[in-house]
Amino acid sequence: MKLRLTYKSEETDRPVLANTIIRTGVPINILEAHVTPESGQMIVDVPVDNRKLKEVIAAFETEGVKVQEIVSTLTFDFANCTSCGACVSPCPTSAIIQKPDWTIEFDEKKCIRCKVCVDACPVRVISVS
Amino acid sequence: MRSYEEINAKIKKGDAVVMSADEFAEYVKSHGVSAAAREVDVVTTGTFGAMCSSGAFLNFGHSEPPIKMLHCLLNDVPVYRGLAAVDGYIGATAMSQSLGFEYGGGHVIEDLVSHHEIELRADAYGTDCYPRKNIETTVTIDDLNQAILLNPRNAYERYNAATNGTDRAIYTYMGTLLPRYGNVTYSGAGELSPLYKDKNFETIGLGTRIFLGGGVGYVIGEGTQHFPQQQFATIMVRGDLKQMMPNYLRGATFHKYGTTLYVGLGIPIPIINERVAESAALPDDQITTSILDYGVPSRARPVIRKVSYEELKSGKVRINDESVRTSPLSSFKHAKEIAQTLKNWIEEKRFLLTRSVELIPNHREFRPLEIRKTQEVAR
Repeated sequence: MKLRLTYKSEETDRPVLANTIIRTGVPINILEAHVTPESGQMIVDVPVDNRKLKEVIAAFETEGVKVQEIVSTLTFDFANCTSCGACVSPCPTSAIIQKPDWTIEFDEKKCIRCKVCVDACPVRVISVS
Repeated sequence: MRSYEEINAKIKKGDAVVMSADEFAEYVKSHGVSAAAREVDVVTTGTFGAMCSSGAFLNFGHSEPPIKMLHCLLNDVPVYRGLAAVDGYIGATAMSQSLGFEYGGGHVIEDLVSHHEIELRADAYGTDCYPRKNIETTVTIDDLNQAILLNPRNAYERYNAATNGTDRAIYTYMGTLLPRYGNVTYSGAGELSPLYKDKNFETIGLGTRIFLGGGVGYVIGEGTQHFPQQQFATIMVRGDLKQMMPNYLRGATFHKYGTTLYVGLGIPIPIINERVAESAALPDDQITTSILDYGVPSRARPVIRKVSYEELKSGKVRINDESVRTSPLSSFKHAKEIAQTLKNWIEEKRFLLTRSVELIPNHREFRPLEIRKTQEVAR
């Protein structure tokens, strides 16, 4: 599961992420980070489900961080996709594959939101959700 | 072995035996080329790839009072205007003056075949015979007298595969190439490739009737940069845009490169002799190309290795002892559909074969542009 974490400026003096990793034992991976003087936002990958995921979310919330679950990362407009394959090999995590009939399949779980595919698509059918 | 007249007589009776090129390659593996050549009359091919040397001649009709257009824009994309008063040529790589890389001539062509309304703007200096100095209106393809797709270079027999040996991602007409040989992209339809299926050019030439953009078109000769000695043959094609369909003509953008047009094209190969059958039967493992390092900004890009289309289509190749992901840029799904559609047209007696009046040449020099003045190269 991917989470969007929003920090208030008051919370940025503590190692929130490290604290959460130590407390829950979950190897959380940072996918994106935007830090401004007012606030910070991070997209993290949390490779667990169900009860353990709830535990991680609770841990972040205890640290005063707002947590949103990212259900979908990218949207593919398959009706307009030509099945060309231009997005497939540039995907660094193999989240996009071509099936034997050459149609495209996207695996949300493997996506790290690098968005290389968005620009690689010649007919612009991939967008950020 | 069989004449065009005999093949067409069989098509008219509904007796012609037609196979798509991938089916024919399989059939020859099990039955042998001689038997297959005796049994099969026509092999159909198909490709759906980005083809930059594409465009359309348009005639807008005369306004009242009439204009001799100096500059002309369709949806803000410049139209070539070095022709008679209201004739123009919209090229696939021409780009919008406002949207740049995101919209170009290829998209205008897609919008035309989709019967969308298109903004037409033109200006002129005004003459005694053409007094009007500007126009702003909208047109659809149905308003035009002629809309003729005329592509100077389509359907490369095969194409290079691309990778990137530098330390940064690069964005090319071969798509996005990750650093340090991070991926390989390739184009060309392999065993479905129209020109590879008649590699000695015994049937394809001026007058060959083909599938073009979902409609019917014709080969009108060799294409630009035709280089048959290295299996880089090309053709020039023409067809009535008004009969074509947007799913086989798609405007496209290659990131940081520009706009282009994906063209769907299929050629029927009449099995007139066993040599043509042998060529039409070539499978992906016998069609090879080179993986080039597009990180080297030169016309002589280094060859990383030779590779077959079978390996490329497997989804990974080995480079420097590492497995590297591959993916195509042209759509094999559409290529197969095109070969199948052409096969259906022939089986349904809707498409007869034509004999070319001048075959494309099997030898051409491929000349570089030598720069005679010394100059600094800006990068």
